[in-house]
Amino acid sequence: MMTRALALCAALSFVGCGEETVSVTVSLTHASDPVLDPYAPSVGLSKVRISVDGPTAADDVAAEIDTEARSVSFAGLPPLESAAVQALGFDARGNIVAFARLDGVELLADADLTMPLRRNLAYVTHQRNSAQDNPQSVVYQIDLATRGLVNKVRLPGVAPTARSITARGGASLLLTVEDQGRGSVVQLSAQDHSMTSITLPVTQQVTYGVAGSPTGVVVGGGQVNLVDLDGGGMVEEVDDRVGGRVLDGVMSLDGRRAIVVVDVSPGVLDIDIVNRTVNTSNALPDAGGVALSPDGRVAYVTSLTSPRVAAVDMSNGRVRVLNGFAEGVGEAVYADELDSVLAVRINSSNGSGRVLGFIAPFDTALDSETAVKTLFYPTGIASDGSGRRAIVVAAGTSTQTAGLTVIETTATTLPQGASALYPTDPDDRFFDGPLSFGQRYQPSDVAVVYGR
Amino acid sequence: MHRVSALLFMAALLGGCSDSQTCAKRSVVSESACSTSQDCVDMGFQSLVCLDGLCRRTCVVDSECLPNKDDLEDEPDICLQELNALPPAICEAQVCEIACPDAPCAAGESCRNGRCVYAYESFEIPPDDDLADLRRQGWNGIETEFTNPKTEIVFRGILGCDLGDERCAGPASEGERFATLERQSLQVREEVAPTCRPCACCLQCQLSTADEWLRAEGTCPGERPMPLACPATTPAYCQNVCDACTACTNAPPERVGMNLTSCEVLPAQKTCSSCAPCESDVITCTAATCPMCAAEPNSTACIMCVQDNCLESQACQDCRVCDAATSCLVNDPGSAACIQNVTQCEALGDDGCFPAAVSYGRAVLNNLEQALVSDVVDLAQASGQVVLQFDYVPFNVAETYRPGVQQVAPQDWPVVPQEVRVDLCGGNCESEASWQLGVLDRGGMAVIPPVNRRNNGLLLGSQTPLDWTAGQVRVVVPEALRTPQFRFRFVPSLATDTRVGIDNVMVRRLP
Repeated sequence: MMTRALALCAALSFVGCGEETVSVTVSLTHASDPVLDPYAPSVGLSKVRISVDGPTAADDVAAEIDTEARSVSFAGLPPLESAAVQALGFDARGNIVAFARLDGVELLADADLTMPLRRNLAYVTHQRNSAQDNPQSVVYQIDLATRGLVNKVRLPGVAPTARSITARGGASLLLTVEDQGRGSVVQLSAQDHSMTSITLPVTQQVTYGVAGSPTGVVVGGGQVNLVDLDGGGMVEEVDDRVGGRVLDGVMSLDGRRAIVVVDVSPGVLDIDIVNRTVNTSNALPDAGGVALSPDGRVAYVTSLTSPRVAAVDMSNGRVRVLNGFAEGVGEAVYADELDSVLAVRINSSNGSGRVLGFIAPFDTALDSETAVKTLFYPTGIASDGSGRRAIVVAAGTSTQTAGLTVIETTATTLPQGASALYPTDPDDRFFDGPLSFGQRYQPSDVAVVYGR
Repeated sequence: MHRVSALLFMAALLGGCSDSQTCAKRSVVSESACSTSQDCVDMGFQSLVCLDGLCRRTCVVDSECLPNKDDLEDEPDICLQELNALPPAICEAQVCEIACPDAPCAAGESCRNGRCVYAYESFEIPPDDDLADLRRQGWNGIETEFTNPKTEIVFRGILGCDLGDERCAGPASEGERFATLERQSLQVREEVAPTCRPCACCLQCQLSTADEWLRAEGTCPGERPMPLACPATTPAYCQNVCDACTACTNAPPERVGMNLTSCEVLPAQKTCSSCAPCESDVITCTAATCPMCAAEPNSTACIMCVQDNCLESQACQDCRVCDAATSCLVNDPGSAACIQNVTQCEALGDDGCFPAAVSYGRAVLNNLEQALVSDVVDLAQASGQVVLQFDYVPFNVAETYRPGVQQVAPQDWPVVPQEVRVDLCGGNCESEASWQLGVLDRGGMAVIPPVNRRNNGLLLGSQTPLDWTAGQVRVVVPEALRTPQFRFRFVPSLATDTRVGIDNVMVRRLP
């Protein structure tokens, strides 16, 4: 066991802080449902790389385990006040097909940690279409490696419409739902796809939450509400003077602050969950999106009409304006390995979409020439937990042209994209002579398990 | 937090450089143990991470295991020399490993692109050749009656080319070329011989409704039909003309071949009285007048000679005149010659001669002909877990299609899944029975693409490198098939103009 002095020494990152070290055992749990189980043969998992990473340079360590093993131990680690523990599940080709993560872990003494290893799945909601079988009630699960549809779930209720979807770490997906004029938050378990529902006072638009913190923030319908995601009920109405349509949002890793972007001025809502306050900011004109840095310390707010980026300090809400992108952009995610913000720009005249990059530590835009083209009318972007792969869903100009784009970035490669038509539904079919075809839904929003 | 490699990359991207005058260690693995990546930094391995107790370089692709040229520009020469002396590395299971031949291969393996393999193909132009060609590169070496010309090697194209064909096919998984698998569809090949007028009319009648026949009876036979299906029994309104057909002269039985529909059989069995003597006349005349035909009966000179000299007998004129009349009514209906042909043909009555199908050759390629078949791979010395591994991209493969079935009406063609099967063979691979469907290393049959990778809208040329990484397949090579005569094949069962790209094909022992 460490002394308090040693802990302080480690926290301050002094060199040569004594000889004491800690040991950590990391264990992985997994779903038993074959669709959600990362160890199911169809997933192609070949090994898992588990790492422990502290706040300073080169304080990381990693180990690999095969698909039979479920835990790994690290010895001789320096004590860490706050570490990120991560598991990357690779297939044979190096695609990340499974992921797990714990943030803000205190490792000042020997520890046994457990985290759920999840398939790297994107969850996608859909637009209403009267010619189809209620796609607005259906949530697809799409494999980020293959872009294939692996499963779907249908929301409970009479005529539910999913208005948005976000990830609550590796625990669940948060769907903000409207059903016959009533609003609710449906929590879809990433473990077994069971669903629980919290009734809202009004129909709202988006819910944000993080694993490890019970309080979720629900925005839209002119209100900001707090809900108890673990207990299942309303907590408090924080503000009823919030207008506009929600464009994007993030929540700090500790669940204490949320930054939400709306399409009215002032466009940035700074929601202090601890003190139950909502401040607004006009740091940028026409705020369009926001992405959270991997350590959760900074939220990068984009502007639809200005290339500049507002960096919001998540600990105190202070704003710093950066040079930003090559052009004005909207909804954003963070590409961890490239240390970049990726954001969507939509050409309003024809609906064509591109994803541009901004290297945050260098406050430098990636050239517009490196932008990744998406399909027409992109409606959502999300990154996976590793921050290596992002997915953009696009409604297209019709059901025939809806699709998705995956974008990969590593530490040494600029964003690479690949687009494909959206997968067709296996059950909702139409006939052309003797041949039957699956309906192609038009996606509306996307979230990735463990994604931010 | 490990961000060394990312920041190095950023520095290169943004024009930064190192002013270090000491050589950074470039090895991909340390000899000494580590507890954290700080130990690696302390040992001089700036870009390695502490993985499984040693300092190692993690990777996704091989290029990440090579030194970044941008990082080397400011290195002292001594460091570059040191670097060049290092063994090359490859990315194996997301970690850089020393490549072969520095890492030795096992018996029976060869070193290709740093990896030990039993066989490797990336469809590039071989170093000693100037053409990428499947057969020249050892594929499809088993002799078959037919070949599938649709499966081919395609080129990524030069910058700015119009994407979408074999010369501008977009990025490959490896190199500049890859193979596209496509199915050769149904191709009808028929043999024709003369039959009598009632038989030609009987066939036409059976394929007509009563009203149609009423209108056509006076001018039959019209254009020769090619039936895919016949009525189960002869319609009553055709009975008279078909009875007259039965009364025609019998043709030599050996001329009646395969794959005729039921209503084509009787016309094939009959002929007209002038054609047998004509044939005899031609044989005699050819022997006497066209000596070149003895050596080369199919030569142009022989055919010209026979046409010019041996078709003038009355029997041959009678045998040919109705066919000529039918043709000229389409091509030159008002001419004096055509009128004369028609008149002469009508004068022959039931003994007029018209062409009829007497045999249809096989029109559907069998699996061996349809497939892309590998060269022989000697796996006699193979050990460990041996797999056939390749990358693929499905180009908008739909779920099902309707392959044509010879002599079956299109509306009755079955609906079957679109797929590419991967078959393996341990010997006697000329025989279909020697092939067996492979099994994937992750379980399930070796059939691509899976259901959830269909209808992706990808056209040839629109794929990106990420599309290739989404589809890597490993097919287990069972011990029973590890012979000196091992082969594998890709059997496309795809709709017309639907393709699946494959590349980076190798048979290897998994490390």
